[in-house]
Amino acid sequence: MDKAPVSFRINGKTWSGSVHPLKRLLDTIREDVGLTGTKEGCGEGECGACTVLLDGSPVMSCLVPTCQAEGKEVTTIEGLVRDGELHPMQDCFIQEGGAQCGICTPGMIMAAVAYANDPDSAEDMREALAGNLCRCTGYTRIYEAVRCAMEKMGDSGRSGKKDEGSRKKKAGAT
Amino acid sequence: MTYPFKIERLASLQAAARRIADLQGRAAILGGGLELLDFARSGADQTPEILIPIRQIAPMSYIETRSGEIRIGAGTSIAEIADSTGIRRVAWPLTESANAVGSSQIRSQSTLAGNLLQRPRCWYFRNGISCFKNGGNTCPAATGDNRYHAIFGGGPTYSVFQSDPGLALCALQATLVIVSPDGERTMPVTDLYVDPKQDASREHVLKPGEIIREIRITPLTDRYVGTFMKIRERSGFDFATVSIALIYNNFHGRFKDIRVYLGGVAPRPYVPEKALNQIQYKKLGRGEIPPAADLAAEGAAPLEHNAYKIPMVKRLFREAFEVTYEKLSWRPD
Ligand SMILES: Cc1cc2nc3c(=O)[nH]c(=O)nc-3n(C[C@H](O)[C@H](O)[C@H](O)COP(=O)(O)OP(=O)(O)OC[C@H]3O[C@@H](n4cnc5c(N)ncnc54)[C@H](O)[C@@H]3O)c2cc1C
Ligand code: SF4
Ligand code: FES
Ligand code: FES
Repeated sequence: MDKAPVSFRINGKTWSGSVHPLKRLLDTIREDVGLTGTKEGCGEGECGACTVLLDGSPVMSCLVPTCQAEGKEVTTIEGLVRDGELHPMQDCFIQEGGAQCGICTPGMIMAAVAYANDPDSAEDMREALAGNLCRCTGYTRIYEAVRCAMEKMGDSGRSGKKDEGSRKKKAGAT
Repeated sequence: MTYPFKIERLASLQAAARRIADLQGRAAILGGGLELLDFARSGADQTPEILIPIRQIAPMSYIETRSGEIRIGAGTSIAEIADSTGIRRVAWPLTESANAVGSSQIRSQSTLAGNLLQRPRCWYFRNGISCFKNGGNTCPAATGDNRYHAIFGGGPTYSVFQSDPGLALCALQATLVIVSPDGERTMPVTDLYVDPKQDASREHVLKPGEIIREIRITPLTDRYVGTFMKIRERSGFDFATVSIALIYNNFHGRFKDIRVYLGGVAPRPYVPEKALNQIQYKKLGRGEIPPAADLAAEGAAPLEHNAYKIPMVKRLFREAFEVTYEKLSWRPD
């Protein structure tokens, strides 16, 4: 069926191309933009492996039609590196052994980064990562890694109760 | 993967309503797209050929207070609702229900209208097995693996109501503003859902070309208490096995204006009438709660594998009343 022009920013750079508006954002990122760090697990919104940030909010890219990204800022795992330095979340996942087979890791890190950037977006860390399944680590090391990164990032890492109204505008918004 | 759809952008909601009505089921509104992409992938439901992205027609994502009402744009995300201070202050059961939806990713993506109109999660239906919901004329769940199915009001279909915010909006007596080809009208959200005995093939009464534009709520005053609670199998993120939305007030020392709806147990939001009548207008007292809770599953007709929901219903009913009772500004005991 018909492709259509679409344009969004991805990891700080503008990307324009022609894809079907309902192509899964996951596929557009992997096949058209050519960034394969984002992984597919279930393809049905259950596992979180495909998590990317859309205007700062975590979304499952396997259930986002590409047209929803028009004009927005997409951040993938590749976009976390700054000046050749890994993001503190990536560092801590390595340090704490937060990854084993690694298939869940890019999505897990993106969901964790969204939470660390805005701890008011969820009741606590477990809740923030509830949409991300991992069958290797048993989660303890992942939680340790996130705690470690939040300390490095300057947040105390405590599970902040919701401070009302502070959440940033969500991906669903126009 | 092929994409059997076309996107159309229209100038106004009215124009979109007319276009969808003309195409009779071949076109639909695109909200967050969660449901539509899921169906496109699984082939479980007929997917429309033409999609009209609602957020590109008009500002559809807002929460504002006007004329003494809270007004929520139909395209507002569940995450934005969970986060709204205004909603938390005067319609907190909706906040609680929004926080109970899926995971943080799902909340960011789901629109409120899309959530209200979600199709059953029944595993037969979602796996593309022929049933009443997709043009067939049987319900394989009736005699199959029905552990997650209805214990009330079932037959011919036994799917269950799964919208957490929808349940809270029923208890809040919210109103929907609907745009249709011939204008705009309002409708209580409690009238949105179809009795499966009348039409087993669908869950809501909206006709093609009827678009939810806004959801309106009358704020609860401080005489009211209320809550939304949900039992799920996986503690992290799951649909409700049983859920409840409850609101009532203290009227001269009595339980008054009780609105109680159960989710996860019937094809649409279910009112446990017997239990409700038992406690309505009774003098406030902790002792009134258990006898009412005992009646909460009255009339249940469980299937082969789901009788376990009966004690859950009673327990949740009781817990919801107990939790809210503690919050009454005045109580005798
Ligand atoms: C993994 C997973 C877990 C979930 N867990 C929960 C949960 O715990 N609790 C819960 O309540 N829900 C849950 N959901 C359901 C989810 O919230 C819905 O799928 C979502 O809200 C659909 O919203 P949408 O905006 O993406 O809808 P869309 O897919 O865009 O639309 C859904 C339907 O509504 C129609 N529509 C959309 N907007 C309008 C409008 N304004 N007027 C008329 N028609 C319209 C569309 O045409 C379509 O038919 C879960 C979903 C997934 C995938
Ligand atoms: S319960 Fe409803 S959705 Fe499930 S098989 Fe029966 S008719 Fe279909
Ligand atoms: S691949 Fe997207 S949630 Fe599993
Ligand atoms: S590291 Fe293997 S699934 Fe998480």
